[in-house]
Amino acid sequence: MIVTKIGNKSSELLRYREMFTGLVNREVRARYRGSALGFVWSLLNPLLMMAVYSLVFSVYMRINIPNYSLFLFCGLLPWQWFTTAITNATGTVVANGNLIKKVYFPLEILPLVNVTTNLVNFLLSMPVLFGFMLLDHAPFTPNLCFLPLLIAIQFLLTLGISLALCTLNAFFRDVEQLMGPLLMMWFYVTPVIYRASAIPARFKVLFFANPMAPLIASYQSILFDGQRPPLHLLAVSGATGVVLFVVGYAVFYRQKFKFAEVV
Amino acid sequence: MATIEIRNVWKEFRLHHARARTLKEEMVRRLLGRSIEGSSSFWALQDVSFDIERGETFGIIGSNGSGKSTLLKLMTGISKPTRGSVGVRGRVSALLELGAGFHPDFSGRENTYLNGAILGLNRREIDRLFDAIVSFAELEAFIDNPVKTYSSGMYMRLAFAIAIHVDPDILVVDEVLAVGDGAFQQKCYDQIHRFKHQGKTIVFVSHSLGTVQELCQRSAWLDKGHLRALGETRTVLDFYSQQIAEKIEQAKEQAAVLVPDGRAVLRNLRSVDEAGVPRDMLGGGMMARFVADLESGLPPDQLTLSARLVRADGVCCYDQRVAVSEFLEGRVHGEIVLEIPELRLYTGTYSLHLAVGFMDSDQWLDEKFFNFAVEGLERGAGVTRLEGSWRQVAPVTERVGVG
Repeated sequence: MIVTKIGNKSSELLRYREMFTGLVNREVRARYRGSALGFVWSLLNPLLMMAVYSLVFSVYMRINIPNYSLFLFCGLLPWQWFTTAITNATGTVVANGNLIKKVYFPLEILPLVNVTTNLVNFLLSMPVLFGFMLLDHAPFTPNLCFLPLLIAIQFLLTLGISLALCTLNAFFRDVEQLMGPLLMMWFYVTPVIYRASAIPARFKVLFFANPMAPLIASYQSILFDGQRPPLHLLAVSGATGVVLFVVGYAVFYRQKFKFAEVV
Repeated sequence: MATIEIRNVWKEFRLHHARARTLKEEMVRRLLGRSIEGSSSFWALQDVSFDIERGETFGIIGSNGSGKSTLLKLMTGISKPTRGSVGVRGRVSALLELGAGFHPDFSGRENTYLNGAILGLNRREIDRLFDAIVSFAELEAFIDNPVKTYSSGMYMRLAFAIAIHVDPDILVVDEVLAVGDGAFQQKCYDQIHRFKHQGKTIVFVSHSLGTVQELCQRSAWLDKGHLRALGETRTVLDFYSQQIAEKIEQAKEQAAVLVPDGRAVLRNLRSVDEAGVPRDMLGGGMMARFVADLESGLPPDQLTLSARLVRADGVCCYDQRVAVSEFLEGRVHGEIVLEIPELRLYTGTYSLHLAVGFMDSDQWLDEKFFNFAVEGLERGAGVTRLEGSWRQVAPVTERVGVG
C-alpha cells in the first residue's frame, strides 16, 4: 500500500516536471532579467564576503592558512547555496499562497524548485571558483570527482530542512524572522572561515552535531587541499541528510492539505 | 461509475487559522490548555453527497458563502474534506484562477508555457496548442511582449485562453466567464459548448440562473453548507426561486400588513426588452424595464407603489416608494412601467418585489415578485457599481499655510 502510494506520488511529480523546470527556469532568469549586471550580482555577495573576511581574518587576525581567500571561497559558495535556499524556502509556501489556494499541483514542487534554483546559481558560480583555483595554483586532483556526491548530500539535507521549515512557517509566520539570527549562528559554528581542525576537542560535539560541518570541510578538502574528503564523516552527513529528508517530508506531507486554508 | 463521487462530505474551518499565529500565541494557548480550541470553527459544508456522471454538465448554485468554492476546492484536490470522501476519476482542470504563475517581466509566450505547465500540460502539448491559444486570445501581435505591457483585458484573455485549452476530462468553471467583452464571452461559451459535445464532464458554478439553465442538465443548490436541492436543473431552479421569494418576504418590514381585498390588484409582473419581449436575464449596467398590470377602483392620489430590488442573499439593493398620482392620472387601469436607465447591479440572482397600498398607511393591497438574473457586471464587493472617478483639484505644493 505504501509502495503504491509512493509510486502514485512519483508519477504525479513526473507529470508535473514541466511545471518544475518552468518554475526553476523562471526563478533563475527572473533574478537576472532587468538588471545590467545580471549574473554578477549573485557572485557579488560571496565575493564581498570573501574580501571582508580575508581582511579581518588573514590580515588583522593573521589566521595561519596560506591562500586564505581561496580557502574561504571554497566554503562560502556551498554555504551561500545552503543559506539562501533555507531562507527562501521558509517563506515559499506563504509567498505562493495564491497559487496554492487556486490551482491543484503537487505542493512538493515549491521547496524543490527553491533548492534547485539555488543549486543552479551555485553551479553557475563554479567556473569562477575554478578560475580562482587556477590563479592560485590550487591542486586539481581526481578527488574532485567527489564533488557530485557532496552536492547530492547537500541537496538532500537542504531539501529536508526546507520541507520542515516551509511547513512550520505556514502555521507560524515568525519562523521566517527566526531564520536570520539562526543561520548567522549556524554559519559561525560551521568551519567556513576557519578549518575544522581549529575546533578544540571539547567543542567537537558542535562539529558532529552539525550536518553542514563535515560537508563544508569536505568541499575544502577536495577543492582547496586536493585531498580525499573524510569519508566516515561524509557518511554521517549523508545519513543525516536522509533522516532530515524523511522527517522533513513527513512533516510536510501530513500538513500540506491545510496549506490552502492557512496561507 | 460516477466521475465525481461526493459522499457525506463535511468541511470544517477553524477561524483562528484564518490568520497566522505566532509561536508565542501558540505556546500561551498550549499552556492554558486546549479549551479555547473549537470555540471558533464553522462548518463550510455539512453532510453533502451527490454524484456527477461522466459526460454530464452539472450546475452548482448558491449565494456567496454557501460553500460552493469550498466544494470546488475539494473536487480539484486543493483541499481535503474533514469528514467523508471525494472521489474523482480523470484529469480535472479548474478555471478558478486565471494567470496562475504569470510573471510580469516575461513575454506572453514564456508565460503561456509556464502557466500551461502549472495547469498540468507538458511542453509538447503546449507546442501543439500554442497557435490556437494565441489566436483565441487575439494576441498574435503581442505574444512576445512582456505581459506587464498588456492591458488587463489582454492579460485576462491570454490567461483564459490557456485555461480553456487545457484538455481535461473534467472541467470546473467558477464564474470566470465574465471576462472581456461580449464577443469574447461568446467565444468562451462556444468553447464550453464544444467541451459539452465532446462528452466531457463539466461542473459549472454561476449566479446566472439563465446560464445554468442553458448549460446544465442537473444542478445542486447549496445553502450555508447544506445541500438544499439536487436534481433536474429546472426543478432545482424553481425551488431556488421560490425559496428566495420566501426569504424576501421574511425580510419585509414587520409593520407591513397585506390585506388583499381586491381594491387594488397587481398582475403579470415581468421584465421586457426594448422590443417588448419578456426576459429574465438582464444586462448589468444596461437599461432595465419592468412591467406590470395595475387595476384599482380607488383614485390614484390614494395609492402608493413600492418597488424593492433584493439580492438572492436577502440584501436590499433598491427600495423606493412612489405616489401613483405622480405618473398616473384618471382611472387606475392598465400597464405601468418601471424604467431603470442603467441597472448597475453585479452578476447574480435578484428579485423585484412590487407592492401597491394606501398612501398614508402600512397596509398593502397586493404584491408580486419577479425573479431575474443579472449578468455582465463583473462581481465586486458591495451592492452596486457607482461610476466614481478621481481627479486632482490643485497641486499640493500650492496649498501654503495649510496645517
